[in-house]
Amino acid sequence: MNDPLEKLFDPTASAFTPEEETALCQTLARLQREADEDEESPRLQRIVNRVEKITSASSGNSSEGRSANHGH
Amino acid sequence: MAAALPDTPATLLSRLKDPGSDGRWNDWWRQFVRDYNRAIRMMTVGELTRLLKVRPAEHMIEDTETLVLSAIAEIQMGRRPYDRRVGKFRTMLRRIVSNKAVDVIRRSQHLFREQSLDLPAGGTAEEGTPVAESLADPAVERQQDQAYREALLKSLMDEVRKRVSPEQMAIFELVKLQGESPVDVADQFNKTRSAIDKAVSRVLALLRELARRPEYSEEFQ
Repeated sequence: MNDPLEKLFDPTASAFTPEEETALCQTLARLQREADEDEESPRLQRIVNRVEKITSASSGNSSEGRSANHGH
Repeated sequence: MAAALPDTPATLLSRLKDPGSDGRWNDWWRQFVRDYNRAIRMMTVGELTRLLKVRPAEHMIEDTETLVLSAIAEIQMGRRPYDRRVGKFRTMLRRIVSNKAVDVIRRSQHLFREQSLDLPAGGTAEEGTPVAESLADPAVERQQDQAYREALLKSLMDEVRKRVSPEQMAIFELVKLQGESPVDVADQFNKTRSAIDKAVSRVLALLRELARRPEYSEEFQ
């Protein structure tokens, strides 16, 4: 069986076999679970908060800085 | 304009390479964080480990990731230019990670005086300067490649989600990602079995179609 990701991004590749399609969907399911976990991750949230402080601090009172604070 | 994709909104990749001035930088940046954070962490750990020759402390990893994501935010905000000479976004991202890892190590160098660090000479590293093009460990490089490719796939699914109805996407996720029976899903949505199959096929076909566009296929290689 070919690597389903290699095949997905290959413009010259043939159609997926059922096994390759299943493997691709299993990967998609895992990535979705990981993305859901990341949404809840205090570590990632801490990093996002730090970035927003940095970008707000460097923008001062600019509209971009306000956008960063009001964006969510 | 492609016949199969009459509506072609900007993709995350195109937006990363060509930040717009539509005031939506925060939306794009958040999507980037969601899709690429694991790939960035993998790159960051690999680069710090390569430079320090030991597993880096968690705070150094987090500091580097913060600086990398800040740099991407500033590019999206139009405060920093995107260097188009670099080509692939992955190359640009790797350079940013490399340079921010050097910055973080320099800042905490007093903690590592006993070690001889092979850091590039000079002042603050800039994104345009290729600090480290080679990775020491092929196994680590393969892991990083895989994490980056999975980030591409995540962003691709975001693009698919924008182009199909919420119902089509929900049907696809239930049948293909959560393994529910198409018959049960048909009952749940009060649709025929054939309509369920069509919705699933539509999402898969769109996924393949978008993945094969040069923007994605070239970035994947």
